[in-house]
Amino acid sequence: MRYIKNKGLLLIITIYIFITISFIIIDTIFYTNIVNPLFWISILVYLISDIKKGYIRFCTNKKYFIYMTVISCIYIVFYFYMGFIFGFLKSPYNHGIISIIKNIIIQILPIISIEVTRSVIAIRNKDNKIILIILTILLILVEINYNTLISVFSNKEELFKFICSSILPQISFGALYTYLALKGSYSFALVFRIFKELFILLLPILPDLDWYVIGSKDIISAVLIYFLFRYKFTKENKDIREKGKNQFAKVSYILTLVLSITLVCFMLGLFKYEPITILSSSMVPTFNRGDIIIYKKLSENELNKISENSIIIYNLENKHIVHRIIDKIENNGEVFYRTKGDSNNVADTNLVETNQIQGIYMFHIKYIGFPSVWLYDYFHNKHTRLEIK
Amino acid sequence: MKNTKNIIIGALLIVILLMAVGYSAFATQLTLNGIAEITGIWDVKITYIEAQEISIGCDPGEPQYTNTTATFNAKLVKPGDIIIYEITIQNAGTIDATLDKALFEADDVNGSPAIRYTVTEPDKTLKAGEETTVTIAIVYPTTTSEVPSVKTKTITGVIEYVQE
Repeated sequence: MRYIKNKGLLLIITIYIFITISFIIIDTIFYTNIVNPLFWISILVYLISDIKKGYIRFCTNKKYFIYMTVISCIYIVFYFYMGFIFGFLKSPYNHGIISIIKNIIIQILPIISIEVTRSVIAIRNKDNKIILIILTILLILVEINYNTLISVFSNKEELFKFICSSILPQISFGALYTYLALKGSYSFALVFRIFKELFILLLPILPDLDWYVIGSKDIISAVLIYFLFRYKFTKENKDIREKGKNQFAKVSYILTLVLSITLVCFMLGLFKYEPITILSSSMVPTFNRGDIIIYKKLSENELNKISENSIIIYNLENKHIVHRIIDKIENNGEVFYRTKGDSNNVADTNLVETNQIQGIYMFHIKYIGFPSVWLYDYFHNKHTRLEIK
Repeated sequence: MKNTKNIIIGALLIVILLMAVGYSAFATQLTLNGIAEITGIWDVKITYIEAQEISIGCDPGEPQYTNTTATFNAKLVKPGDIIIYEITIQNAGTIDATLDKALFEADDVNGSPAIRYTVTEPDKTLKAGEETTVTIAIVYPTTTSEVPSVKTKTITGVIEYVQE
Protein backbone atom coordinates (compact mmCIF):
# COMPACT_ATOMS: atom_id res chain seq x y z
CA MET A 1 0.00 0.00 0.00
CA ARG A 2 1.24 3.37 -0.88
CA TYR A 3 2.23 6.00 1.61
CA ILE A 4 -0.69 7.64 3.31
CA LYS A 5 -0.37 11.06 4.81
CA ASN A 6 -0.96 10.79 8.55
CA LYS A 7 -3.58 13.50 8.81
CA GLY A 8 -5.69 11.87 6.09
CA LEU A 9 -5.42 8.47 7.76
CA LEU A 10 -6.33 9.93 11.15
CA LEU A 11 -9.40 11.61 9.65
CA ILE A 12 -10.48 8.41 7.92
CA ILE A 13 -10.19 6.41 11.15
CA THR A 14 -12.05 9.12 13.11
CA ILE A 15 -14.88 9.17 10.56
CA TYR A 16 -15.05 5.38 10.59
CA ILE A 17 -15.39 5.35 14.40
CA PHE A 18 -17.99 8.10 14.22
CA ILE A 19 -20.06 6.11 11.69
CA THR A 20 -19.95 3.07 13.97
CA ILE A 21 -21.07 5.13 16.98
CA SER A 22 -23.76 6.97 15.02
CA PHE A 23 -25.13 3.62 13.85
CA ILE A 24 -25.70 2.69 17.51
CA ILE A 25 -27.30 5.96 18.63
CA ILE A 26 -29.20 6.90 15.52
CA ASP A 27 -32.65 7.40 16.85
CA THR A 28 -32.05 10.31 19.18
CA ILE A 29 -32.64 14.02 18.87
CA PHE A 30 -29.51 14.45 20.95
CA TYR A 31 -27.47 12.82 18.20
CA THR A 32 -29.04 14.82 15.35
CA ASN A 33 -29.02 18.18 17.10
CA ILE A 34 -25.87 17.99 19.20
CA VAL A 35 -23.51 15.07 18.51
CA ASN A 36 -23.48 15.21 14.72
CA PRO A 37 -23.01 19.01 14.32
CA LEU A 38 -20.46 19.09 17.16
CA PHE A 39 -18.43 16.29 15.63
CA TRP A 40 -18.26 18.02 12.27
CA ILE A 41 -17.49 21.42 13.82
CA SER A 42 -14.60 19.77 15.69
CA ILE A 43 -13.31 18.28 12.45
CA LEU A 44 -13.59 21.70 10.80
CA VAL A 45 -11.62 23.32 13.63
CA TYR A 46 -8.99 20.61 13.31
CA LEU A 47 -8.66 21.39 9.60
CA ILE A 48 -8.46 25.16 9.96
CA SER A 49 -4.65 25.03 9.95
CA ASP A 50 -4.77 23.42 6.48
CA ILE A 51 -7.05 26.19 5.25
CA LYS A 52 -4.92 28.93 6.84
CA LYS A 53 -1.71 27.54 5.38
CA GLY A 54 -3.38 27.56 2.00
CA TYR A 55 -2.98 23.81 1.72
CA ILE A 56 -6.51 23.69 0.45
CA ARG A 57 -8.15 26.73 -1.04
CA PHE A 58 -11.79 27.69 -1.17
CA CYS A 59 -11.63 28.41 -4.85
CA THR A 60 -8.84 27.51 -7.21
CA ASN A 61 -10.50 28.92 -10.28
CA LYS A 62 -13.19 31.60 -10.14
CA LYS A 63 -14.55 30.63 -13.55
CA TYR A 64 -15.28 27.07 -12.39
CA PHE A 65 -16.91 28.42 -9.26
CA ILE A 66 -19.27 30.59 -11.31
CA TYR A 67 -19.87 27.66 -13.65
CA MET A 68 -20.90 25.48 -10.68
CA THR A 69 -23.12 28.26 -9.29
CA VAL A 70 -24.95 28.43 -12.63
CA ILE A 71 -25.32 24.62 -12.71
CA SER A 72 -26.67 24.69 -9.14
CA CYS A 73 -29.23 27.35 -10.07
CA ILE A 74 -30.35 25.32 -13.09
CA TYR A 75 -30.65 22.22 -10.89
CA ILE A 76 -32.80 24.10 -8.37
CA VAL A 77 -35.04 25.60 -11.06
CA PHE A 78 -35.38 22.19 -12.70
CA TYR A 79 -36.16 20.60 -9.32
CA PHE A 80 -38.78 23.21 -8.50
CA TYR A 81 -40.28 22.98 -11.99
CA MET A 82 -40.91 19.27 -11.40
CA GLY A 83 -43.45 20.36 -8.81
CA PHE A 84 -45.64 21.75 -11.60
CA ILE A 85 -45.71 18.31 -13.17
CA PHE A 86 -45.98 16.10 -10.08
CA GLY A 87 -47.48 18.51 -7.58
CA PHE A 88 -46.24 20.25 -4.45
CA LEU A 89 -46.35 19.48 -0.78
CA LYS A 90 -45.95 21.68 2.26
CA SER A 91 -42.38 21.83 3.52
CA PRO A 92 -41.90 19.88 6.75
CA TYR A 93 -39.47 22.54 8.03
CA ASN A 94 -40.41 25.37 10.36
CA HIS A 95 -39.76 28.76 8.78
CA GLY A 96 -39.35 30.88 11.91
CA ILE A 97 -36.00 32.70 12.10
CA ILE A 98 -34.73 30.64 15.03
CA SER A 99 -35.75 27.39 13.36
CA ILE A 100 -34.06 28.40 10.12
CA ILE A 101 -30.82 29.21 11.98
CA LYS A 102 -31.06 25.97 13.93
CA ASN A 103 -31.67 23.97 10.74
CA ILE A 104 -28.77 25.67 9.01
CA ILE A 105 -26.46 24.75 11.91
CA ILE A 106 -27.72 21.17 12.00
CA GLN A 107 -27.77 20.58 8.26
CA ILE A 108 -25.31 22.92 6.58
CA LEU A 109 -22.40 23.02 9.05
CA PRO A 110 -21.82 19.27 8.73
CA ILE A 111 -21.94 19.63 4.93
CA ILE A 112 -19.22 22.32 5.01
CA SER A 113 -17.09 20.17 7.25
CA ILE A 114 -17.66 17.03 5.17
CA GLU A 115 -16.59 18.80 1.98
CA VAL A 116 -13.52 20.39 3.58
CA THR A 117 -12.56 16.96 4.97
CA ARG A 118 -13.09 15.36 1.57
CA SER A 119 -10.94 18.01 -0.04
CA VAL A 120 -8.10 17.69 2.51
CA ILE A 121 -7.92 13.90 2.27
CA ALA A 122 -8.41 13.81 -1.50
CA ILE A 123 -5.73 16.40 -2.22
CA ARG A 124 -3.27 14.77 0.21
CA ASN A 125 -3.84 11.36 -1.39
CA LYS A 126 -4.65 12.28 -4.97
CA ASP A 127 -2.51 9.45 -6.37
CA ASN A 128 -3.82 6.78 -4.03
CA LYS A 129 -6.97 5.37 -5.59
CA ILE A 130 -7.68 3.03 -2.65
CA ILE A 131 -7.74 5.90 -0.18
CA LEU A 132 -9.94 7.94 -2.52
CA ILE A 133 -12.42 5.06 -2.79
CA ILE A 134 -12.43 4.47 0.99
CA LEU A 135 -12.90 8.21 1.54
CA THR A 136 -15.85 8.36 -0.86
CA ILE A 137 -17.49 5.29 0.69
CA LEU A 138 -17.04 6.61 4.24
CA LEU A 139 -18.49 10.01 3.37
CA ILE A 140 -21.44 8.28 1.68
CA LEU A 141 -21.97 6.13 4.79
CA VAL A 142 -21.85 9.23 7.00
CA GLU A 143 -24.84 10.71 5.20
CA ILE A 144 -27.07 7.64 5.02
CA ASN A 145 -30.18 7.91 7.13
CA TYR A 146 -29.82 4.72 9.19
CA ASN A 147 -33.04 5.36 11.02
CA THR A 148 -34.99 5.08 7.77
CA LEU A 149 -32.80 2.23 6.55
CA ILE A 150 -33.58 0.15 9.63
CA SER A 151 -37.28 0.96 9.50
CA VAL A 152 -37.57 -0.24 5.89
CA PHE A 153 -35.14 -3.15 6.18
CA SER A 154 -37.72 -5.89 6.76
CA ASN A 155 -39.90 -4.76 3.84
CA LYS A 156 -38.21 -5.73 0.59
CA GLU A 157 -40.25 -3.33 -1.53
CA GLU A 158 -39.62 -0.34 0.73
CA LEU A 159 -35.94 -1.25 0.98
CA PHE A 160 -35.66 -1.31 -2.83
CA LYS A 161 -37.30 2.12 -3.02
CA PHE A 162 -35.02 3.49 -0.31
CA ILE A 163 -31.92 2.19 -2.09
CA CYS A 164 -33.06 3.76 -5.39
CA SER A 165 -34.17 7.10 -3.98
CA SER A 166 -31.52 7.64 -1.33
CA ILE A 167 -28.50 5.35 -1.42
CA LEU A 168 -27.87 5.26 -5.19
CA PRO A 169 -28.11 9.08 -5.51
CA GLN A 170 -25.76 9.43 -2.54
CA ILE A 171 -23.28 7.10 -4.20
CA SER A 172 -23.50 9.09 -7.46
CA PHE A 173 -23.12 12.45 -5.76
CA GLY A 174 -20.43 11.12 -3.41
CA ALA A 175 -18.31 10.05 -6.36
CA LEU A 176 -18.96 13.39 -8.10
CA TYR A 177 -17.94 15.42 -5.03
CA THR A 178 -14.68 13.48 -4.69
CA TYR A 179 -13.96 14.09 -8.38
CA LEU A 180 -14.65 17.82 -7.95
CA ALA A 181 -12.50 17.97 -4.81
CA LEU A 182 -9.63 16.40 -6.73
CA LYS A 183 -10.00 18.73 -9.67
CA GLY A 184 -10.27 21.96 -7.78
CA SER A 185 -11.42 22.63 -4.31
CA TYR A 186 -14.21 21.92 -1.88
CA SER A 187 -16.04 25.02 -3.08
CA PHE A 188 -17.52 23.31 -6.18
CA ALA A 189 -19.29 20.59 -4.24
CA LEU A 190 -20.06 22.99 -1.43
CA VAL A 191 -21.84 25.59 -3.53
CA PHE A 192 -24.00 22.88 -5.13
CA ARG A 193 -24.85 21.25 -1.83
CA ILE A 194 -25.63 24.51 -0.03
CA PHE A 195 -27.92 25.62 -2.85
CA LYS A 196 -29.72 22.30 -2.69
CA GLU A 197 -30.00 22.35 1.09
CA LEU A 198 -31.13 25.98 1.35
CA PHE A 199 -33.78 25.32 -1.28
CA ILE A 200 -35.22 22.53 0.87
CA LEU A 201 -34.89 24.42 4.15
CA LEU A 202 -36.24 27.78 3.06
CA LEU A 203 -39.04 27.10 0.62
CA PRO A 204 -42.53 26.75 2.13
CA ILE A 205 -43.56 24.24 -0.55
CA LEU A 206 -41.52 21.50 -2.14
CA PRO A 207 -42.04 19.31 -5.21
CA ASP A 208 -43.92 16.14 -4.27
CA LEU A 209 -41.78 13.57 -6.02
CA ASP A 210 -41.98 9.81 -5.68
CA TRP A 211 -38.98 7.54 -5.17
CA TYR A 212 -38.46 6.87 -8.87
CA VAL A 213 -38.39 10.55 -9.80
CA ILE A 214 -36.07 11.45 -6.91
CA GLY A 215 -33.67 8.62 -7.73
CA SER A 216 -33.59 9.22 -11.49
CA LYS A 217 -33.31 13.00 -11.11
CA ASP A 218 -30.34 12.79 -8.74
CA ILE A 219 -28.45 9.99 -10.48
CA ILE A 220 -28.80 11.58 -13.93
CA SER A 221 -27.93 15.03 -12.50
CA ALA A 222 -24.76 13.69 -10.86
CA VAL A 223 -23.61 12.03 -14.11
CA LEU A 224 -24.53 15.10 -16.14
CA ILE A 225 -22.62 17.47 -13.83
CA TYR A 226 -19.64 15.09 -13.98
CA PHE A 227 -19.60 15.20 -17.79
CA LEU A 228 -20.14 18.96 -17.90
CA PHE A 229 -17.17 19.55 -15.60
CA ARG A 230 -15.07 16.98 -17.33
CA TYR A 231 -15.75 18.69 -20.64
CA LYS A 232 -14.97 22.09 -19.11
CA PHE A 233 -11.70 20.89 -17.54
CA THR A 234 -10.63 19.24 -20.79
CA LYS A 235 -11.48 22.32 -22.81
CA GLU A 236 -9.74 24.71 -20.42
CA ASN A 237 -6.61 22.59 -20.17
CA LYS A 238 -6.49 22.39 -23.95
CA ASP A 239 -5.80 18.70 -23.72
CA ILE A 240 -5.60 18.00 -27.43
CA ARG A 241 -5.28 14.26 -26.89
CA GLU A 242 -8.72 14.15 -25.31
CA LYS A 243 -10.32 17.03 -27.08
CA GLY A 244 -12.08 16.00 -30.22
CA LYS A 245 -10.31 12.66 -30.16
CA ASN A 246 -13.44 10.70 -30.66
CA GLN A 247 -16.46 12.64 -31.79
CA PHE A 248 -18.41 9.43 -32.12
CA ALA A 249 -17.88 8.62 -28.42
CA LYS A 250 -19.04 12.12 -27.43
CA VAL A 251 -22.21 11.78 -29.47
CA SER A 252 -22.88 8.34 -27.99
CA TYR A 253 -22.50 9.70 -24.42
CA ILE A 254 -24.90 12.53 -25.11
CA LEU A 255 -27.29 10.10 -26.78
CA THR A 256 -27.16 7.76 -23.76
CA LEU A 257 -27.94 10.62 -21.39
CA VAL A 258 -30.82 11.80 -23.57
CA LEU A 259 -32.10 8.22 -23.82
CA SER A 260 -31.93 7.80 -20.03
CA ILE A 261 -33.90 11.00 -19.47
CA THR A 262 -36.43 10.01 -22.15
CA LEU A 263 -36.86 6.56 -20.60
CA VAL A 264 -37.53 8.09 -17.18
CA CYS A 265 -40.07 10.53 -18.65
CA PHE A 266 -41.73 7.70 -20.60
CA MET A 267 -41.99 5.50 -17.50
CA LEU A 268 -43.45 8.40 -15.55
CA GLY A 269 -46.17 8.90 -18.16
CA LEU A 270 -45.10 12.37 -19.18
CA PHE A 271 -45.78 11.62 -22.84
CA LYS A 272 -49.07 10.89 -24.58
CA TYR A 273 -48.12 7.21 -24.68
CA GLU A 274 -47.42 5.23 -21.53
CA PRO A 275 -46.24 1.66 -20.88
CA ILE A 276 -47.83 -0.91 -18.58
CA THR A 277 -46.44 -4.29 -17.62
CA ILE A 278 -48.99 -7.09 -17.65
CA LEU A 279 -48.99 -9.04 -14.42
CA SER A 280 -51.90 -11.41 -14.98
CA SER A 281 -53.41 -13.53 -17.73
CA SER A 282 -56.94 -12.17 -18.04
CA MET A 283 -56.37 -10.90 -21.60
CA VAL A 284 -54.83 -14.07 -23.06
CA PRO A 285 -54.53 -14.64 -26.03
CA THR A 286 -54.44 -10.92 -26.96
CA PHE A 287 -51.45 -10.41 -24.69
CA ASN A 288 -49.86 -12.39 -21.90
CA ARG A 289 -48.36 -11.98 -18.47
CA GLY A 290 -44.89 -10.47 -18.92
CA ASP A 291 -45.82 -8.45 -22.00
CA ILE A 292 -45.68 -4.66 -22.00
CA ILE A 293 -48.54 -2.78 -23.55
CA ILE A 294 -48.37 0.79 -24.75
CA TYR A 295 -51.53 2.79 -24.29
CA LYS A 296 -52.52 6.21 -25.51
CA LYS A 297 -53.95 8.79 -23.14
CA LEU A 298 -57.19 10.19 -24.42
CA SER A 299 -58.49 13.73 -24.62
CA GLU A 300 -62.07 14.45 -23.58
CA ASN A 301 -63.11 14.49 -27.20
CA GLU A 302 -61.44 11.14 -27.88
CA LEU A 303 -63.00 9.62 -24.76
CA ASN A 304 -66.48 10.06 -26.22
CA LYS A 305 -65.48 8.25 -29.39
CA ILE A 306 -64.40 4.95 -27.80
CA SER A 307 -66.14 2.11 -29.53
CA GLU A 308 -67.04 -1.45 -28.57
CA ASN A 309 -64.25 -4.00 -28.90
CA SER A 310 -61.59 -1.44 -27.94
CA ILE A 311 -59.23 -2.40 -25.13
CA ILE A 312 -59.19 0.27 -22.47
CA ILE A 313 -57.13 0.99 -19.37
CA TYR A 314 -59.35 2.10 -16.53
CA ASN A 315 -58.98 2.89 -12.89
CA LEU A 316 -60.77 0.88 -10.22
CA GLU A 317 -59.97 1.40 -6.53
CA ASN A 318 -56.40 2.54 -7.26
CA LYS A 319 -55.83 -0.42 -9.56
CA HIS A 320 -55.64 -0.02 -13.26
CA ILE A 321 -57.38 -2.69 -15.27
CA VAL A 322 -56.84 -3.44 -18.95
CA HIS A 323 -59.96 -5.07 -20.42
CA ARG A 324 -61.99 -5.07 -23.60
CA ILE A 325 -65.24 -3.10 -24.00
CA ILE A 326 -68.07 -5.50 -24.81
CA ASP A 327 -70.98 -3.10 -24.46
CA LYS A 328 -71.64 0.64 -24.44
CA ILE A 329 -74.61 1.68 -22.31
CA GLU A 330 -76.19 5.13 -22.34
CA ASN A 331 -78.29 6.11 -19.37
CA ASN A 332 -79.72 9.62 -18.81
CA GLY A 333 -77.09 11.12 -21.11
CA GLU A 334 -74.24 9.38 -19.29
CA VAL A 335 -72.13 6.74 -20.99
CA PHE A 336 -71.05 3.54 -19.23
CA TYR A 337 -68.94 0.69 -20.58
CA ARG A 338 -69.19 -3.00 -19.80
CA THR A 339 -65.76 -4.64 -19.94
CA LYS A 340 -64.42 -8.18 -19.89
CA GLY A 341 -61.03 -9.87 -19.99
CA ASP A 342 -60.63 -11.95 -23.14
CA SER A 343 -59.89 -15.11 -21.18
CA ASN A 344 -62.54 -14.46 -18.53
CA ASN A 345 -65.84 -16.34 -18.56
CA VAL A 346 -68.01 -13.41 -17.52
CA ALA A 347 -67.98 -9.65 -17.81
CA ASP A 348 -66.63 -7.43 -15.04
CA THR A 349 -69.28 -6.64 -12.44
CA ASN A 350 -68.67 -2.90 -12.34
CA LEU A 351 -69.62 -0.68 -15.23
CA VAL A 352 -66.84 1.72 -16.23
CA GLU A 353 -67.56 5.45 -16.26
CA THR A 354 -65.83 7.76 -18.73
CA ASN A 355 -63.87 9.50 -15.97
CA GLN A 356 -62.32 6.16 -14.95
CA ILE A 357 -60.76 5.61 -18.35
CA GLN A 358 -57.07 6.37 -18.60
CA GLY A 359 -56.34 5.42 -22.14
CA ILE A 360 -56.71 3.03 -25.00
CA TYR A 361 -54.50 0.07 -25.89
CA MET A 362 -52.28 0.69 -28.91
CA PHE A 363 -49.88 -2.24 -29.16
CA HIS A 364 -47.85 -4.60 -27.05
CA ILE A 365 -44.29 -5.89 -26.89
CA LYS A 366 -43.88 -9.50 -25.91
CA TYR A 367 -41.88 -10.74 -22.90
CA ILE A 368 -39.93 -7.55 -22.09
CA GLY A 369 -42.00 -6.92 -18.97
CA PHE A 370 -40.83 -10.17 -17.34
CA PRO A 371 -38.09 -8.54 -15.22
CA SER A 372 -40.81 -6.40 -13.63
CA VAL A 373 -43.05 -9.45 -13.16
CA TRP A 374 -40.22 -11.39 -11.48
CA LEU A 375 -39.40 -8.43 -9.27
CA TYR A 376 -43.07 -8.04 -8.37
CA ASP A 377 -43.33 -11.75 -7.54
CA TYR A 378 -40.14 -11.57 -5.51
CA PHE A 379 -41.34 -8.62 -3.47
CA HIS A 380 -44.78 -10.08 -3.00
CA ASN A 381 -43.67 -13.64 -2.34
CA LYS A 382 -46.34 -15.25 -0.20
CA HIS A 383 -45.49 -17.35 2.82
CA THR A 384 -47.16 -18.87 5.82
CA ARG A 385 -45.61 -19.40 9.19
CA LEU A 386 -47.13 -22.20 11.24
CA GLU A 387 -46.34 -22.36 14.93
CA ILE A 388 -46.63 -25.46 17.01
CA LYS A 389 -46.30 -25.60 20.78
CA MET B 1 -9.90 8.09 -19.29
CA LYS B 2 -12.24 6.85 -21.97
CA ASN B 3 -12.74 3.68 -19.96
CA THR B 4 -13.90 5.68 -16.96
CA LYS B 5 -16.41 7.48 -19.15
CA ASN B 6 -17.71 4.19 -20.52
CA ILE B 7 -18.03 2.69 -17.06
CA ILE B 8 -19.93 5.71 -15.78
CA ILE B 9 -22.29 5.82 -18.71
CA GLY B 10 -22.79 2.02 -18.56
CA ALA B 11 -23.50 2.17 -14.83
CA LEU B 12 -25.97 4.99 -15.40
CA LEU B 13 -27.83 2.98 -18.02
CA ILE B 14 -27.96 -0.14 -15.83
CA VAL B 15 -29.20 1.80 -12.80
CA ILE B 16 -31.83 3.68 -14.79
CA LEU B 17 -33.05 0.45 -16.40
CA LEU B 18 -33.15 -1.37 -13.07
CA MET B 19 -35.10 1.47 -11.52
CA ALA B 20 -37.50 1.46 -14.47
CA VAL B 21 -38.07 -2.27 -13.95
CA GLY B 22 -38.68 -1.64 -10.25
CA TYR B 23 -41.01 1.23 -10.99
CA SER B 24 -43.02 -0.95 -13.34
CA ALA B 25 -43.23 -3.66 -10.72
CA PHE B 26 -44.48 -1.36 -7.97
CA ALA B 27 -46.77 1.00 -9.83
CA THR B 28 -50.33 0.07 -8.98
CA GLN B 29 -51.39 0.61 -12.56
CA LEU B 30 -49.65 -2.61 -13.48
CA THR B 31 -52.25 -4.79 -11.80
CA LEU B 32 -54.52 -6.42 -14.24
CA ASN B 33 -57.22 -8.53 -12.69
CA GLY B 34 -60.48 -9.71 -14.16
CA ILE B 35 -63.48 -10.50 -12.02
CA ALA B 36 -63.99 -13.95 -13.51
CA GLU B 37 -60.33 -14.78 -13.62
CA ILE B 38 -59.13 -17.30 -11.09
CA THR B 39 -56.33 -15.42 -9.39
CA GLY B 40 -53.75 -17.15 -7.21
CA ILE B 41 -54.86 -17.74 -3.65
CA TRP B 42 -52.33 -18.34 -0.93
CA ASP B 43 -53.81 -20.38 1.87
CA VAL B 44 -51.49 -22.79 3.67
CA LYS B 45 -52.91 -23.62 7.06
CA ILE B 46 -53.24 -26.10 9.89
CA THR B 47 -56.47 -27.99 9.51
CA TYR B 48 -56.37 -30.56 12.28
CA ILE B 49 -54.45 -31.82 15.29
CA GLU B 50 -55.14 -35.03 17.14
CA ALA B 51 -53.46 -37.29 19.65
CA GLN B 52 -53.01 -40.60 17.88
CA GLU B 53 -51.23 -42.86 20.31
CA ILE B 54 -51.62 -42.46 24.02
CA SER B 55 -50.06 -44.70 26.68
CA ILE B 56 -52.43 -45.91 29.38
CA GLY B 57 -53.02 -43.35 32.07
CA CYS B 58 -51.55 -40.44 30.05
CA ASP B 59 -53.53 -37.30 29.32
CA PRO B 60 -53.08 -35.73 25.87
CA GLY B 61 -55.17 -32.70 26.88
CA GLU B 62 -57.29 -31.00 24.27
CA PRO B 63 -55.03 -29.97 21.43
CA GLN B 64 -56.03 -26.62 19.99
CA TYR B 65 -55.33 -25.16 16.59
CA THR B 66 -55.96 -22.09 14.53
CA ASN B 67 -54.99 -21.56 10.90
CA THR B 68 -51.41 -20.87 11.88
CA THR B 69 -50.90 -22.26 15.38
CA ALA B 70 -51.26 -25.63 17.08
CA THR B 71 -51.00 -26.09 20.82
CA PHE B 72 -50.99 -29.24 22.92
CA ASN B 73 -50.35 -30.06 26.55
CA ALA B 74 -49.14 -33.63 27.07
CA LYS B 75 -49.12 -35.20 30.53
CA LEU B 76 -46.97 -38.30 30.88
CA VAL B 77 -47.07 -40.48 34.00
CA LYS B 78 -44.28 -43.04 34.04
CA PRO B 79 -41.15 -44.01 32.13
CA GLY B 80 -42.04 -45.56 28.80
CA ASP B 81 -45.12 -43.37 28.32
CA ILE B 82 -45.65 -41.80 24.91
CA ILE B 83 -48.17 -39.47 23.30
CA ILE B 84 -48.08 -38.92 19.56
CA TYR B 85 -49.75 -35.89 18.02
CA GLU B 86 -50.45 -35.61 14.34
CA ILE B 87 -50.86 -32.15 12.87
CA THR B 88 -52.39 -31.82 9.43
CA ILE B 89 -51.28 -28.96 7.20
CA GLN B 90 -53.24 -28.26 4.08
CA ASN B 91 -52.56 -26.09 1.07
CA ALA B 92 -56.08 -24.84 0.53
CA GLY B 93 -54.98 -22.17 -1.91
CA THR B 94 -54.18 -22.32 -5.59
CA ILE B 95 -50.46 -21.63 -5.38
CA ASP B 96 -47.97 -24.46 -4.86
CA ALA B 97 -45.91 -24.11 -1.71
CA THR B 98 -42.51 -25.32 -0.73
CA LEU B 99 -41.10 -25.88 2.74
CA ASP B 100 -38.71 -23.12 3.68
CA LYS B 101 -38.10 -23.92 7.32
CA ALA B 102 -39.12 -26.54 9.88
CA LEU B 103 -37.48 -25.77 13.15
CA PHE B 104 -38.28 -27.38 16.50
CA GLU B 105 -36.59 -26.66 19.75
CA ALA B 106 -37.15 -27.48 23.37
CA ASP B 107 -36.41 -25.37 26.38
CA ASP B 108 -33.67 -27.62 27.75
CA VAL B 109 -32.52 -25.07 30.31
CA ASN B 110 -35.75 -24.68 32.23
CA GLY B 111 -37.52 -27.81 31.01
CA SER B 112 -37.37 -31.32 32.35
CA PRO B 113 -34.46 -33.34 30.95
CA ALA B 114 -36.61 -36.45 31.31
CA ILE B 115 -39.01 -35.43 28.55
CA ARG B 116 -37.88 -36.21 25.04
CA TYR B 117 -39.50 -35.59 21.69
CA THR B 118 -39.16 -36.55 18.07
CA VAL B 119 -40.65 -34.78 15.07
CA THR B 120 -41.19 -35.91 11.49
CA GLU B 121 -40.64 -33.21 8.92
CA PRO B 122 -43.58 -32.25 6.70
CA ASP B 123 -43.46 -32.75 2.93
CA LYS B 124 -41.02 -30.47 1.17
CA THR B 125 -43.50 -29.58 -1.54
CA LEU B 126 -47.13 -28.92 -0.87
CA LYS B 127 -49.01 -28.61 -4.12
CA ALA B 128 -52.27 -26.68 -4.21
CA GLY B 129 -54.98 -28.80 -2.62
CA GLU B 130 -52.57 -31.27 -1.00
CA GLU B 131 -52.15 -32.14 2.66
CA THR B 132 -49.18 -33.16 4.72
CA THR B 133 -48.74 -34.17 8.33
CA VAL B 134 -46.24 -33.48 11.04
CA THR B 135 -45.98 -36.10 13.77
CA ILE B 136 -44.66 -35.14 17.17
CA ALA B 137 -43.96 -37.88 19.66
CA ILE B 138 -43.56 -36.86 23.29
CA VAL B 139 -41.72 -39.54 25.24
CA TYR B 140 -40.90 -40.30 28.88
CA PRO B 141 -37.93 -42.60 28.27
CA THR B 142 -37.72 -45.96 30.02
CA THR B 143 -34.10 -45.22 30.85
CA THR B 144 -35.21 -42.60 33.39
CA SER B 145 -34.49 -44.09 36.83
CA GLU B 146 -35.77 -41.40 39.14
CA VAL B 147 -38.64 -38.94 39.18
CA PRO B 148 -37.32 -35.64 37.84
CA SER B 149 -37.78 -32.53 39.97
CA VAL B 150 -38.85 -30.44 36.96
CA LYS B 151 -41.79 -32.08 35.30
CA THR B 152 -42.63 -29.89 32.34
CA LYS B 153 -40.94 -28.90 29.12
CA THR B 154 -41.90 -26.39 26.44
CA ILE B 155 -41.34 -27.46 22.87
CA THR B 156 -41.75 -24.84 20.16
CA GLY B 157 -41.87 -25.45 16.48
CA VAL B 158 -41.98 -23.19 13.46
CA ILE B 159 -42.82 -24.42 10.00
CA GLU B 160 -42.63 -21.96 7.13
CA TYR B 161 -43.98 -22.57 3.69
CA VAL B 162 -43.22 -20.15 0.89
CA GLN B 163 -44.47 -19.78 -2.62
CA GLU B 164 -42.85 -22.39 -4.87
